[in-house]
This record gives sequence, structure tokens and C-alpha cells, in this order.
Amino acid sequence: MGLKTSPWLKTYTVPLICVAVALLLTFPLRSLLQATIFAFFYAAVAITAWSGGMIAGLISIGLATIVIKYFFIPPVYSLEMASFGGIVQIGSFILVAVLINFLSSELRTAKERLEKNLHKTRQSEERFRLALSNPSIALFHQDLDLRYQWIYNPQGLNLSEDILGKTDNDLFPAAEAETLLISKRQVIESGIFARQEVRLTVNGRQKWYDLSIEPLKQGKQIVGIGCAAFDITERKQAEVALRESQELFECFMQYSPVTAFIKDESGKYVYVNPLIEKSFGRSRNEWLGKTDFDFFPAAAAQQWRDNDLQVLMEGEIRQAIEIVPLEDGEHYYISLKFPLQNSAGKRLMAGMSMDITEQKRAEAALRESEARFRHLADTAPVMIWMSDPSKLCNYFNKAWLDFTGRTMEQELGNGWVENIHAEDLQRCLHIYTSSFDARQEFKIEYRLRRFDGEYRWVFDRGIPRFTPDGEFLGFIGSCIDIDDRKQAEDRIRHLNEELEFRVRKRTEQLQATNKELEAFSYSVSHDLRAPLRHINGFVDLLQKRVGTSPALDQTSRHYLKTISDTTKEAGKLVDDLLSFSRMGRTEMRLTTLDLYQLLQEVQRDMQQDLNGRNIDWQIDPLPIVQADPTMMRLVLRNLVENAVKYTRPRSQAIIQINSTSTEDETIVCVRDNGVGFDMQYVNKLFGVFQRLHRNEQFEGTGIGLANVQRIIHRHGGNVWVQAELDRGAAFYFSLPKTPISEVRWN
Amino acid sequence: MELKRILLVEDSSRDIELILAALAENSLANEVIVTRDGAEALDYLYRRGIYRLRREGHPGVVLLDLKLPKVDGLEVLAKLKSDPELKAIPVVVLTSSREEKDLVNSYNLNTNAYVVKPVDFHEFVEAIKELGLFWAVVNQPPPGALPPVRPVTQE
Repeated sequence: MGLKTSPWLKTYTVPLICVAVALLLTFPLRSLLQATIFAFFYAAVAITAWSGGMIAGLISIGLATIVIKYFFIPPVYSLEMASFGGIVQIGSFILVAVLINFLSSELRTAKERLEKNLHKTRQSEERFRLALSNPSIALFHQDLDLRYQWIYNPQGLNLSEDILGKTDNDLFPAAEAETLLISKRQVIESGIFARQEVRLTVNGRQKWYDLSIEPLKQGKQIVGIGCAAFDITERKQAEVALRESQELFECFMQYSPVTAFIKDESGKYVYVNPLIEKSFGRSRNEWLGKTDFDFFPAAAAQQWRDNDLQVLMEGEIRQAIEIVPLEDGEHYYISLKFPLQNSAGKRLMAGMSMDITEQKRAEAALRESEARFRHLADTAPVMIWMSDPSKLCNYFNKAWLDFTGRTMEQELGNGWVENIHAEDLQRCLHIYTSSFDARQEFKIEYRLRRFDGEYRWVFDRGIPRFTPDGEFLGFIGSCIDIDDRKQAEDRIRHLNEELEFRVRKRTEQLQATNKELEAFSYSVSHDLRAPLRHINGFVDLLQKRVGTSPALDQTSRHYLKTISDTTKEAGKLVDDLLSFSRMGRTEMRLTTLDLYQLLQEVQRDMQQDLNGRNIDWQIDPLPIVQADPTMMRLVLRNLVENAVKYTRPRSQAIIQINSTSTEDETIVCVRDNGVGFDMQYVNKLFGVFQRLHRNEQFEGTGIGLANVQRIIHRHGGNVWVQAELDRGAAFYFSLPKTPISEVRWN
Repeated sequence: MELKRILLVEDSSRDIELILAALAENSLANEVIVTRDGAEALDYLYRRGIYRLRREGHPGVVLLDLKLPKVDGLEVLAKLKSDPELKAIPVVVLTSSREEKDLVNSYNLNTNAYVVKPVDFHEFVEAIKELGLFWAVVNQPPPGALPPVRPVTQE
């Protein structure tokens, strides 16, 4: 191929030169040459050299030289060289034969080399084809106008015929085409290879390609570009998926309420979540590549390391409570650790931990509280039991067990029932179960067998228990031995019954007496008044009869008058006595009563008695009370009458009426500046028929104040008096603000 | 004015005497029929026993004491006021008793009036006078009453 520049030389010049040399040689030697005689030998050499190569040719030449000398060069049948002509003949034969041999063997070598090259090319081509058979690779050439000139594997685009001659603008959306064109033009302008990842819409689908752009040159001239596009869509998608997954994971971890971490086999952190950074105040970069021993006391780190190693060794999930020393003290974490393998096959240990210190403390507090309750329950002097939501008892305190003399095992469940007195059992169980079902508090008294076999009355109060969320937990009950109290109660009840019986007896007696008294009063009312009336009537008739007659002297008339006056007095006495008796017997009708108004009515009634009297009334506002109006009128009238009566000697009488009030009673005072009395006789003042003055001085029957006292007592109040002889008297009575039930027979 | 007949039911002879004296003072005594106990009073009203043959007709007023032998005043009152024939006759309870019990019982049995005999004779006379004047003179008795004794003129 090296002769490419002068092919004609070989074709024309070499034959001419070679033929001329042959002619020049043949011509002087033509007498000596009988050329045709060797022709077959030349052919023999040529064939030998073609088929066997240079060595075979040379052997063939040697053999031919010997044969030619022996048979054809005189002296024939001898190898002896006798003539010059013979030497020339042999010599020229050898020369020509060597030449033929050389050419033939050279030709053969060239052919062999050619065949070898051809084979190699075929192999290379096959390899290339195989390589390009991957559908992900597209190859194409574009010219300087960036029109497609050639394409291999057009990526599902239309047939190459539809692509060839078009530009990217014809094939892709504008934005994508623009990106491609810019890059390609740059390569054309700079002549420098470029490679980039591009996203293209192919057949309506988004695809990613790794695009290599190479300038195509002819000599030094750029004539276009050669491109290779490798479909990397899947890889890209995997990358996006990975990134999304990564972002999701990071986001998840951002808000994870538990700490999460990954360590390698040597204990070095490979990953820590944000909560770890925050909890321990160290950034992720500080953690990564370090072990717990770099941050924490050896004991703590070792504890964790042991757990980590166990997980790595056993290859199983492991849960453990781990103690973490923090600034504010030791924290308890519950850790879940599990083995992990990264994509490179490296063994890792991942873990998640949650701070359960609060729960731990609450648990401890609960345990402490529980222990305290047990202690309290066991040292309490009351018997305590507890039951679960299924009504079965699950606890009895020491006091209970000591009382019954039984073991906890004997009492648990329904064992306690055995201690209840047979007569009380049904009632007990009924109250217990019905209260339990209604979840209501209950109180029972029943007899419980003591360790010594004696049944003692106990008082048992059961209360339902609930969690703060309102879940029913069962009952808790406390019992006390009330046997002594019960016996005392029995005694009291017995005494009460006896007392009641006596009271009833006494009441009956009293009622009988009252009946008698009533009959007596009734009798008095009729029978005592009648004779008085009769005496009075007949004396009067007599007076009329003798009135004008001189037969009766002065003394007789005086006697008649005395009889008449006395019967009137006796009549008044009887009436007053009856009224006194009535005050004790008639029923009280309590109403709301304005004492001031009542007082004014009393004053009006008395108007006649006040004629010619000079009285200074000093009356304060009086309260409104609950009282019987008839009776209270009598009280006020008696007191006011008294005041008026005993101030008669005074030229200027002063009567003061006022009231005071305490929390539960009203006190009324009637004060006068009359003759008063000596306080040593005060005890006689309120007695029936008791008088401190002679009738001639101050008239009266001695019933008035007795009536006042009786009435006030019936109202539940009191009467008292303060007086001084000749200096007036003050009468007080009190009325309770809450009217008492009547005291009838006082 | 006419004077109606007065039926006085009173066991005490002294009271009868005094009442009649009081009525006489006012010229009201003439037509007073005196019965000495509840049984006799009922006999009179029902025209039984000794009153079997009396004239038909009812008294203009009955002055009734409560404390009576045999049948007491309240019984008489109850009987009288429960009889459709007799219940229209005015009844005045005239008694010594101031007892609330008697008062209440009497009114429960539909007495027309209740008068307590005063101890003082003057008051007594006054009370009897007013009583006699009102019931025997002023008040118009129901139909079926005995015819009046004689016309009276008030003082």
C-alpha cells in the first residue's frame, strides 16, 4: 500500500526494466543458452516457493541444479563441470531461480499477512457490533449545520430515514433542542470533546442521556460532530428515588421523638438523627466516626457497647433499658437495637432510644406510694380489704388477718365469706353485690368471727375505686369492731324503751290528772259562778225591795252592800282563775304578730282607766314575733295595766316600753317609775293569788302576772323582773326567734 | 210588736227565778215555758209525755242552759238542729261557762247565739233584757211558731 503514490511505476516501468535486463543478458549469451530446456524447472521452483516458502524454494533450486547438470549439461551423466558454457548455463539458472524463489516466497508472506489482518479486522468488527448491540447506546453524526447524517440505534425514534437530514429543533421540544444545540455548537467552535447529561422527551417519555460530543475532522478541518448518547434514565430515576427516599428519611428523622443512630462494627457512629444532636448538644459531624467512648464515661459506653456487640453477634433485635448520664442527672432510655447491612455488605448496628426517665420516676413514685399504702394499711387500727372488678377480694390488711386469725391465702377470693355469721351472710352478700354492680358506696353491719371463735359486730364501709380516667377498679373497704358500741347501743335502747315506757305511764297519769283538772275547772266555771251569781242577784232584788222601806237601818244596808261587793269580787276571782286555767289549756295558735300594733290596741282598750292620769309613754318600736295573738294581748295588757296601776301615786308617771334582740331571742321590757317592791319577795310575784300589796291599796286578784308567766313559758320564753321599793319596776319577757314546739303542761 | 213564746231550759231554780225576775222587769215574763232538764225540753218540743196535749206550734226562741240533768244542753241542741221540723227554731245558749270548748261545740251544732251569764246581777238583768227583747220581740220567727201571746210595746 506504500506504493500508493506511484502505481503506474510498478505497472509499467518494472516490466520494461526487467525485460531489458533479460534481453541484455540473453543477447551476449544467446549461443550458450538454450533457455527453453529449464522452463519446467523454473516453474518447479516457483510452485515450490509459493507453496513451501523460501527454504523449500532453495532446496528445490539445489535439486534442480544437480539434475540439470547431470542430465543436460555436457558431459552428460556426470557432475563434472567441463565447459565455460555449462558454468554460465548453470549460473544463470541459479540466479534466475533464486530470483523467482524470492519473489514467490515474498508473495506468499504478503498473502499470509493479509489473511491474518483480515481475520483480525473481522474479530474487531464483531466485538464492536456486540458492544453496540446494547439498545441504550445511540451513535450519530451531524454536519456543521447540525443535521443528522448518520445514526445508529435511533432509540425508538422514527426510522433513521425520518431523522437523517433533520436538526434537533425538528425532533425535540424547543427548550431541550436549544440545550443540545448550544452544547454541540460549542464543540464545533472549540473542537473540544464535551460530555453532559441531558433530559430529552423521546416518544412522549422523559429520558435522560449521557451525551458525548466529539468533533469530526478531515485533516485539520472540522466537518461535523460524532455523538454517542447513553440512555441513563433508569439510573437517573434510581437517583431521584434514592434522593427522595433520603429526604423522606431525613424529614422523618427531623421529627422523630426517639433518638436514632447507626454504628459500624467498631462502634463508630455512621448516622445520628437530629434528636441526638439536640439531646447531647453535639452536631452530627462531631458524632460521625466517633464511638461512645469518645463522649461518655467508660462505664456507660461499655454498657451500650456490650448491647451493640450482642446484637451484631446474634444478628437479632434486642431491647434494653440503658442509663445515659446527662447534665441533669442519669436518664433512662429504652433502646431497640437491630443489625443492618449497607449496600456494600458492611455490617452495621442501628438503634432507636426513647427517654423514659419520667415514666421510670413515676413508676418508682407509684411503687413508693404503693409501699406506703401497704405500710399504712397494715399499721392502721382498722381492718381493710380490697376487691377487684370481678368482686373477688385481692387484699386484706394485717389488722383483718390478725382479727380473723387466718392467712391471706384463706381470705382471698371469696374465702372471707367463711368468717361471716350465718344469719348475716345473705344480707351481707346482697348489699355487697348490689352496691358493687351499682358501683355505689355501702355501709353494712355484720358479725365477723374473731380468731377465738367469737362473733363480733363490725361496721364495714365499702367505697368503689376508680382510675383518674374513670375506669372501675373494684372496691376498698374498712371495718371497725363495733361490738362494744353495739352492746352499749343495746343497753341504751333498752334504757330508752324503759324510759319511754315510764314516760308513757307518767303521761297517762298526767293526762288523767289533766282530765280531772279540766272537769274541775269546768265544774268551777259552772258551779262556783252560779251561787255567786245567785247571791248577787238575790241581794240585788232584796235591795230593790227594801230600797224605799225605812225598815232597814244603815248598818243593814252596809251589810247588804258588802255582801254584794264581795260576791262581785269572788266572781272576778273565779273568772280570773278560769282564765288562768284556760291559758294553760287552750291551744296556741302561733302567727306573725306586730307587738307594736298589739300594744296600741291594748292602750286603746284601756283608755277608760287612763282618765285623769298624767302618764309619759316612752315607747320604742317593737319587733314582729311569732306568738298567739290572744295570749300576747293578755301579756301586754297585764304588764301595762300593772304599770298604770302601780304608778297611780305618781303625779308624773313614766312608762317605758322597748325591746332588745339577741341572736335567738327577742326581749321586751316594760318599765315604770311606780311604787316598785322589795326584791326579796320577787319569788312570790308570779305565783297565783300572790300579792305584794293590800287590796285597799291596789286592787287585784294576784292572777295577772301568773298568767303572764304561764303564757311566756308556753311560748318558750322567760319572764323576770327588776324592782326597787318605791323606785319602780321593770318587767322583762323574752320570746325565742324560732318558736319551740309547745310546752303544754308547765 | 208581739211577744213570742220563750222556752227556757234551766235546771237551777235560782237561775229560773232570777231570769224570770229579769224578764219581768221588762214585762217579758208572761209567756215563758220553763223545762227543768233536756228530756223535758225535748218532750215539750215533740209534744210528748206531759206535753202530749199541748197546742201545736213552736216557741219563738229557746234559752238553753248547757249543764242539765239527764239530757244535757248540747244533746238537746244537736237533736233540735238535726231535725228538719225543728231546726229553724232560734236557740240561745245561756250558760255560766266561758269555756272555749263549750262555745266551739255550741256553734258547731248551729246555735244561733251564745250568752254567758254575768255574775253581776245588773249586767245579768241587762243581758236577759236584751236577749228577750231581741228574740221574743224583734226577731221574726220562722213559720210554724206558736201564735204570739199579746202585743207588747217597748219602753
